[in-house]
Amino acid sequence: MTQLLIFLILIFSIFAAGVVFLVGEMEKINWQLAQIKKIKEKKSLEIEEEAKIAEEKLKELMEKKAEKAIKALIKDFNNKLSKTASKGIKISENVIKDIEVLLKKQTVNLQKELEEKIKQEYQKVEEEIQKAKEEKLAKLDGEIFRVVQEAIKKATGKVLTPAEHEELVFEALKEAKSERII
Amino acid sequence: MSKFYEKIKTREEVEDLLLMIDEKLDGGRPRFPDWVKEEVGEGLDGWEKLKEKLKSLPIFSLTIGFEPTEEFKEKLVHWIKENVEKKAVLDLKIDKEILGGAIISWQGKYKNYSLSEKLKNTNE
Repeated sequence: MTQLLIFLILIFSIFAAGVVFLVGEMEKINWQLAQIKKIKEKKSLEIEEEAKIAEEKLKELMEKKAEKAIKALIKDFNNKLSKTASKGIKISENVIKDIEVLLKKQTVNLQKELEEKIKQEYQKVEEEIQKAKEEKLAKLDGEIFRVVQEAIKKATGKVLTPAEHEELVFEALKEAKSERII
Repeated sequence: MSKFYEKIKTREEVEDLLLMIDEKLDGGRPRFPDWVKEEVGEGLDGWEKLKEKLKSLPIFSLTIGFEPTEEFKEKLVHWIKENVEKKAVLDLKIDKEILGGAIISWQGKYKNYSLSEKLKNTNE
């Protein structure tokens, strides 16, 4: 019985010792885990910090590079611009000259055209005046002729005798004969 | 001068004769002057020939400015047949507007010898 008790006490002791051991191990593990966690957090912070720094450095570097590139670009652009500008000035001078020549030419042409147009208009007006004049004169001539004819008609009716009429007809015939009309 | 050409004097006479010949050819009995009968002879063939002869007569156109007497017309025809062409027939027109003188048209030629024309020319 005692042996059993001893045995049981022994087993219990072993069990208790085991439990104590296990608890101790557990605590140890937990402590280690906490340590790991701490280290991890610390590392994480460090990494984060480093990343931040690296980012800033990169940013700074990029900015510098960009600034440099922009400066180079501006320089290049300025060079090109100055070259183009000098060319442009030459081109502009030529263009101005061309425009001047063209303008002069066009002005002369325009002047000529205007002169020609004025001349034509003048001629047209002159022709119209001449035509109107001729028409008026013809009308006047016709009028004079009609009046004189009327007067002669009245006069010849009284003055020209049948014998004179006959004589005029024979004169006409003789004239036609002499002119080889008949 | 052939009697036919002496006798036929004016365009009116030619036209009258042509109408009479047509009447004759259509069986009618118009009264022709003797000189026409003499010209035609016997048979209808003569009438056709006369028609052609009449149509071929040259026409002398004359415009005068007064009413002529028959005597003056005779004188004119005589003068034309003597001085221009014995076969010619006179086509006389009256236009008092010409005042005096004459307008002559003969075989495509035309000339105005009227007083009005002379007046017009003087005016121009």
